[in-house]
Amino acid sequence: MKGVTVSVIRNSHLRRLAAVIAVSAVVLSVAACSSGTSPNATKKRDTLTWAVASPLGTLDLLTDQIDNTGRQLLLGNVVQTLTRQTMKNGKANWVPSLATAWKQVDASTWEFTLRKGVKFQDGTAFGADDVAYSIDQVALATSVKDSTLNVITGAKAVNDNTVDVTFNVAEPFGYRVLSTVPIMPSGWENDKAKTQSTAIGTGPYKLQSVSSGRDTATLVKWSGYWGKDTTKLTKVVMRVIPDNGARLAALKSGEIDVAFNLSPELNKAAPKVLTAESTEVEIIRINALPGAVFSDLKARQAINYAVDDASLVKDVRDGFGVAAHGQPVPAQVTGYVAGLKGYPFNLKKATKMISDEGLTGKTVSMMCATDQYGAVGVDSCQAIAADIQATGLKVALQLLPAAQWLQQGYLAKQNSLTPPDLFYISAGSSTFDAGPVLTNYFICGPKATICDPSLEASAQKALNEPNAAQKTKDFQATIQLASEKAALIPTVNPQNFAAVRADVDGTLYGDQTQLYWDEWSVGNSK
Amino acid sequence: MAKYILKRLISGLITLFVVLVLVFVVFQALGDPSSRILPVNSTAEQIRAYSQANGYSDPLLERLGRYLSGAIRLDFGTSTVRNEPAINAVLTAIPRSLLLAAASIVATVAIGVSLGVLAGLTRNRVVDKAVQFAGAIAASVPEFWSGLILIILFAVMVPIFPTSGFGGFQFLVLPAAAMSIPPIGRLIFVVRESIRSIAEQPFALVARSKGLSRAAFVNTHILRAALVPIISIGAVELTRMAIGGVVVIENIFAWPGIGQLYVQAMQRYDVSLVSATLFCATALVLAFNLILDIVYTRLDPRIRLERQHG
Repeated sequence: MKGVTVSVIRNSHLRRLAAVIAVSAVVLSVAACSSGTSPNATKKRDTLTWAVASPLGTLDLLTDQIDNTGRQLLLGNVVQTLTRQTMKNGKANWVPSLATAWKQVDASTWEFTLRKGVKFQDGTAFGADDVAYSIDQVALATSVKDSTLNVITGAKAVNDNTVDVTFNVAEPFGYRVLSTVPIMPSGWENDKAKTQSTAIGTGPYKLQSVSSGRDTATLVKWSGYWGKDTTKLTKVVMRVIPDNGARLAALKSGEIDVAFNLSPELNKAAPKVLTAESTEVEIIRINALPGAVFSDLKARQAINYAVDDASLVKDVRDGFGVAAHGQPVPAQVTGYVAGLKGYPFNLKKATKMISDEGLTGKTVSMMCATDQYGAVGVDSCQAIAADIQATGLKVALQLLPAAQWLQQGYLAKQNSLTPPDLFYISAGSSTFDAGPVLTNYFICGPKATICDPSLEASAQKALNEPNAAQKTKDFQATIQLASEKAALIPTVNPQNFAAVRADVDGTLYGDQTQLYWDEWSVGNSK
Repeated sequence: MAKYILKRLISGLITLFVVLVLVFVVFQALGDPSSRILPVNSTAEQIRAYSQANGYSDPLLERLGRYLSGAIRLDFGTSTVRNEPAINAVLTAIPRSLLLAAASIVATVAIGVSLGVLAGLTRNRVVDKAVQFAGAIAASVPEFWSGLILIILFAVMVPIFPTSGFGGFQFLVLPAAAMSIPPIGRLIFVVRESIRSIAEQPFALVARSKGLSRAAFVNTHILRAALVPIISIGAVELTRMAIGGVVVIENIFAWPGIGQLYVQAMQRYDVSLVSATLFCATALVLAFNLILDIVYTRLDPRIRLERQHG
């Protein structure tokens, strides 16, 4: 026994290794234990934690390309708008927010009366100058805004409490457009670094902190809020958990209360799922420009017949959505044509038409994004490609990161590139009218890949019509015509959803980035 | 020894230079960064102005020179994702990844060596076969799968640890465990094989025949001889963790280290951040390899002699 002990002591290499391992383990434990807190230690019922897949980018709501996470965090919560959308029994309505009243002055001008006695979170008074400044910043050509805001020309302060907002088209729904324009203090853009890393507004929540990795952000209730105190949560925490499975696990373990961007099949395992009808429709933009494979109407009709939209809803989205029935706007959007059926799935007919056109065996390009619409977007894209390939065409599918997908696909014409034959995208109508769809897909220009004179004339007429009732009819006529010309392949009107804990309540909207945390509650938070 | 270290440092610098040039060439091949950095609806004029202001339209060699001279000063530019100097974001992330890798290595060595020794000493018996079976499974389990299984087991079903995030010791356990499962599997086989070959050496037979107890025999002869292969596989694993393993694990466990940073940088086309991340990851791997090579020579004089004569 003695001999053994001596042998071990003499084995200095082993002793060193053992010592290194032991010391490392102790140091790691002590260092780690001293720096952290239990995930549940600070959890209160008046705190809601929500998780998303990707980190925050810039926080500049006025002029930068702000991502979904940034919008969900700030818009309507920290930074407010002139009007606010509400949902009751699935019906959208617009109510006063920073504006107390509004009226249409002429076809392309709206006047907003502003709320008095409102302050920004930095203590400065809110007024017409701030509204005019914010709208003008959004209207700048260099501002990267949602396509629904391209119609804004600018704003002018009429007096301290009145602002006129002008549009570049006849706009009977100006109050809807203004529900997505953030209002920030005048001169906010002067310090670009500041605008990208923080935000100041008039909302019920104040941005307390953003982690250096932009993977955690905290909102706290703001005591200086002008409105009635209806907020049930004193703290709202955003976390980034990139992995879908880990996000669901965090929800099930109670670490988080809300998980966004889960794949539909994972939703089934969630304690509860909140849903809302989306104002977007998943479409395939067809390159119908002269010389393209689908410049011919019959060829476009054939691929419309080829897509099995019912299967996309049932098999890809697990029932979270409805078939689009041949139109790029959903039922709740002005311009939707009740009764229009489009091109019902008929593979036999599609195959024959492709053959009759002499396109069997022809290779067509299709472009989709890998990270714009999550896993379900990739699955949808691949399913649609398989449907079209079943007609006898050969589909060369290209999946690109969102930035390249936008530049090389959506903006291909603007970038002097040949647009892909088929381009997968979600067409949005967050203002609840067909205007953005008509502007982006039917007006000849840098984006649209069909340039049909009658379709463009119909779209122009609808966009320039000042009368709301007539505008609705013109929108419908254009949607009907687009269907006849098989200008796009509308596939699915998806449902927005969020997986939540059983005791969480809240409202989702047609635009998935729209969230008002003052409408949410966790458990017994009152 | 000093000459050897100097030689390795020079070859390391050359490797770093090649990595930098490769990153530069790849990003040049992808086109003008302006069109990707600027808003999607920027006009051609705006893109041109931005390009000129940032030197993207300068001659290629001039840009390369500027890029390399910046890299020497660790100035890779400002990260568009983080809105801060790219090197700062990387230097913040590296200690977190090292903490994760270190915890994983500790677990790998402790468990892998123990099980490997056990298997080696019980060759062809039930215990050996069971350990080998477990080792084979561990070595072939992908990290993204084992990570999720650990989360489900120990954060959801039996909520001992958090599912993800960065903070105290409890946040470290599951990612380190998930990261160490495959190398544990590999290390078991390496140690087992080392023990088998050493146990058959004449000196080992003599030692045992002289009546040395099994414990003393293992401690004085077997483990000492097995150190080199352990460190060898440790070096490979550390490199694998620094380059690839952390990317998967950090994303599953939302661990804000260099792996997650790299994914974000690539997703958002952040050239500065990609350059800084790759540069630092390469430098780390080179430093690890150099340190481990020096450790080899301390542990096994034959390696030093071979190198000196080579």
